[in-house]
Amino acid sequence: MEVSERADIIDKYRVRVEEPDVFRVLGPDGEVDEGAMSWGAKLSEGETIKLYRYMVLARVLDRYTLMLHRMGKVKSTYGSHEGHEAADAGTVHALEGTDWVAPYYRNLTLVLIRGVPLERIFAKFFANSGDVDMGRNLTIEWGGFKEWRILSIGAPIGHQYIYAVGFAYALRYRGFNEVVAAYLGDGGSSTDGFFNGLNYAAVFGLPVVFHVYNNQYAISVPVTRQASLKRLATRAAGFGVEGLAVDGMDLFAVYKASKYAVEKARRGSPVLIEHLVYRFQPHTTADDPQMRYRDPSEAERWRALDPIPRLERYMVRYGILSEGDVKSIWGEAEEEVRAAAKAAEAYPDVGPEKLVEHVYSGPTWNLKEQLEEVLASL
Amino acid sequence: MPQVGMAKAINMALFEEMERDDSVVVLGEDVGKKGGVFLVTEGLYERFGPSRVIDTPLNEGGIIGFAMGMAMAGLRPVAEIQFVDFIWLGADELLNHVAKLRYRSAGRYTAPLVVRAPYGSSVRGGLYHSQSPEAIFAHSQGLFVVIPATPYDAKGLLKSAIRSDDPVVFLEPKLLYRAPREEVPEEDYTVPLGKARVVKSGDDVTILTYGSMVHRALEAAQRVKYSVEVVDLRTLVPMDIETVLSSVRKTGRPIVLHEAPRTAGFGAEISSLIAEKAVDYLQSPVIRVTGPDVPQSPLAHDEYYAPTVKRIANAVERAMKY
Repeated sequence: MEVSERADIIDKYRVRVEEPDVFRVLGPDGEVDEGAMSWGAKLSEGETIKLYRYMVLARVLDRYTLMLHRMGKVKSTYGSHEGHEAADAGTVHALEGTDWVAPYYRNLTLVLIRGVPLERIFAKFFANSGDVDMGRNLTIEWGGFKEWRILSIGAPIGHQYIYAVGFAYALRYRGFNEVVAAYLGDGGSSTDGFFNGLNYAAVFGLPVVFHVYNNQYAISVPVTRQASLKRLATRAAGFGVEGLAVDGMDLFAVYKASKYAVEKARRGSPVLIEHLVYRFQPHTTADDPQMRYRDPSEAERWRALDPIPRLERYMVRYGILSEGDVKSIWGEAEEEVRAAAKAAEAYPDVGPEKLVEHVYSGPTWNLKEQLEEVLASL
Repeated sequence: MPQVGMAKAINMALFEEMERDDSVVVLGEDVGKKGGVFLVTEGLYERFGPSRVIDTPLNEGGIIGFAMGMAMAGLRPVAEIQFVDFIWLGADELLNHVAKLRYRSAGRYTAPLVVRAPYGSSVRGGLYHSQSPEAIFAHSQGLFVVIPATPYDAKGLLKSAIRSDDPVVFLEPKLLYRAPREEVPEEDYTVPLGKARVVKSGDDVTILTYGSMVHRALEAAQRVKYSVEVVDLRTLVPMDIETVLSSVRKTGRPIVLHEAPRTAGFGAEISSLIAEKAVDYLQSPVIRVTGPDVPQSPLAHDEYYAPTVKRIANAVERAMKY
């Protein structure tokens, strides 16, 4: 028998994956793509200004923290989220107040919008007694922000996807109609937590929106080493989950996609959104400040898409804010941040007796004994 | 009262706890219609349905992470890992997230789940159905570690574990699943966590042990001409130091017995505590009788990988002749 090379024989048995384009509403110059703007939910002017203010506040907080870090006032390494502000603002604003978030670490704007006071954030950076986590975690490991419906994370990232999904299972089991929004970076999309999270959410039909912040780098490793795909959103297809790719530095694109995803998730169909963003700063203050692993011209190209000036150009162009308004919003943010840092510095240190608290629900004989020994030598 | 083995006793505990409290759910591989590969969850699916008896995708990290999220939201999940040897896929979830959650959130979040897993050798399980990794969990601050040795204890301890506000690793000696059997009350009772049990009292030698080795220690005690006290720890974390020390102070000759490999095993911790707190009472060195430091347990050597009655009896002789 002759061997046939005819493609049509095998074609219908072949998996077809079509990689998506990237959804964008706001051009680099602040001009709106009216077609894209006409789809889905729309932010009001008031909402846009509110979110813009948070983005500015977070940018100022971020920069100020880097300065404090250089002064030795921040107790641990710090990772800037510069470039992620619009992704945070649009994704979290798409949720109801009763919904939950399972952040990763580079989510500072999100934490602010959820309502965590600046002073608490600084106390956390200083690891003093004003910190709700009692100074146990690195700056951007959000341990105990439960009051603001933020799930707890630690540095081994990825797993927040799967426990967010378990959390969503329990919410549904108890009859709540709440959604969980879970976050990861491009590096995190290679972890077991990512695979388990998507798979379990899909298999059990759970109300979870998965956000992947593709900021192009996992420390120094480029996203091309995380997946041999053009878009990380394409990975969703392998789990039977809808995937979307958006310009994560475009507040409107992020918000529209997120609102759509939240509504769909609330009906029991999880959605994954890949947000294309750029990590303008080094991974953390412990990273190579020159970032010799990447070409400086690359950052310049991305800078043209910076979410904050882009939104400013939009608002000035369409008469929502004047240049004077913009200036005073930055000024107010700076004052607010400086005052909060000062207030947070006033908290005393965490007492050494706190060392053994919360390991278990109650004290155990060995912890009591060990604390005594530590205290006796202080 | 029915005469049952440990598997059935655990099944009774699960059934009763699920009847008592609708926040208790069971999840894992094959726990549903099949009732678990050892039939520990038999009948639960029929009684409580698929939303409370949940067959999961095959990934232990998924099972433990999923259970953690449920527990954070107020449920009381009991996750079954089919064999503890497979738990490492979920090690990050268990050791880095579940165990540290209360601490890293300063008590704002907790994950009061139970991870149940059959463990231990002497069942012709080879290298991946025989392991005893209890020391690793005991060394991961934030977890309770519980190992029952009898059906009665298994039921009472599992109930306490489910009701505990701390996450519990509950290791079930699979050698004991079917036998020995004993009478297990059908009514509600608990056995407290953190309390050891003096299974047999004696004056000359103390054997400190847990799990299936409790039964071998008792057999060995009958073969020697000395008076041997056998202490079943029942809970490794938190350990009942008072019961351990009072027995060692009485006999002065402690033997630490477990089937896990020796080096850095949990016996090292017990030995060290005895050295720190009861050295003045010792009439012999602390003797460890354990599995050898080879992967647990090679099929061809299965009959004598875990300490045999004869090895234990020899250790008693050594302690007495020191």
